[in-house]
Amino acid sequence: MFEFNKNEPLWQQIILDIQTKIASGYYTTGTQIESVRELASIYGVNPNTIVKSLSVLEDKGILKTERGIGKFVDMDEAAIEEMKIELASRLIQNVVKQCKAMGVDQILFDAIAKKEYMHE
Amino acid sequence: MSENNDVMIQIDHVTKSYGSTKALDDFSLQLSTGKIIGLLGPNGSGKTTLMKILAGLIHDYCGSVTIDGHTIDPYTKSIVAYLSDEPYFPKWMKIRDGIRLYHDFYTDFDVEKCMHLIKQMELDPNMSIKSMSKGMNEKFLLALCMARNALVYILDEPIGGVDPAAREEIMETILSNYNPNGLMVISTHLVKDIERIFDEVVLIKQGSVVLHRNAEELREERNQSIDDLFVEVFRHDAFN
Repeated sequence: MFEFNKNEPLWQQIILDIQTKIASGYYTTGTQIESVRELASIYGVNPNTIVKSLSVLEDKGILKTERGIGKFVDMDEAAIEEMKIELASRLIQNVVKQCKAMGVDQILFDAIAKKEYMHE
Repeated sequence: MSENNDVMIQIDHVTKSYGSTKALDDFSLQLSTGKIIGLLGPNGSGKTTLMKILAGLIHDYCGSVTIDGHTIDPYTKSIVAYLSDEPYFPKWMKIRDGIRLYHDFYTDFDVEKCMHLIKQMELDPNMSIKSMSKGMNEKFLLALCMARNALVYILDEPIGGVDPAAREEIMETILSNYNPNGLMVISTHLVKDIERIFDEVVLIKQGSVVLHRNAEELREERNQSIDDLFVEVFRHDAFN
């Protein structure tokens, strides 16, 4: 079952996971995502939590509803790329802040980032 | 799925005493349709008493309780499926005997669904109650309970006696059989393992409600899990 970070609202974590799945290509443009019931089972959460996550994703223009059919990924490739950059930036911001605080300069940061990227 | 605020269970000023101890003390609570509610409290806080009242098994209490607009009566019994925290079948019985009994007893009991759940939980209809572990018994009773097409499910400690792997299985079963037009009330003191399925949590302490809130709002406001909150609220009791 999906591993949650326990101190954050589940709906936010589900949003991030679905966005990550779109960024990684697990869901592509126009893909129909699973039903509320299926997603509730995949994430092991209450269906209402899924409903909340999906409605936020819809408000952001990431998903759209086809009445009576289901929800689909409503982003073209350019928008997905943009979202990928935004998600990655958000993750890196904290790391940069902490590295700066311990005096890691940009050249060293790049070198470490490159090494870790290759290593992973 | 839209937000549905119809009241399903209304409990007003209920007091139930056992001798000089009050299991429920001027207890009031309103629960609406379409939710999964976590009823959380340490042992002896009144959870089981409350659930038995809702199931129509305890009658001698003060105050008022209604389910779907009815005071506790044959109608409410017909729409409430109750999972007890204690085994209630005689040891000589087999799983298939229990299923037959439920079939005779409840008109909303779906035998096929029950057989499906039994199979899913890797139980066998020919197993006898006495040969089954505590966890297997719990899974069996849950299958019986969830195979009813009830409006309200009252589950008293459904994950109490099972190992973590079986807990996930039980949560799956609960989620995939949940009726969005009904209501599910689940009591537990093992908050961590099951909190992710709750819409709302009700913390009860010494027979009264300490807190009744939306689970996600609590996480957002306090930056902590419901489990951490539970420990915080009840920490002092643990050492008394």
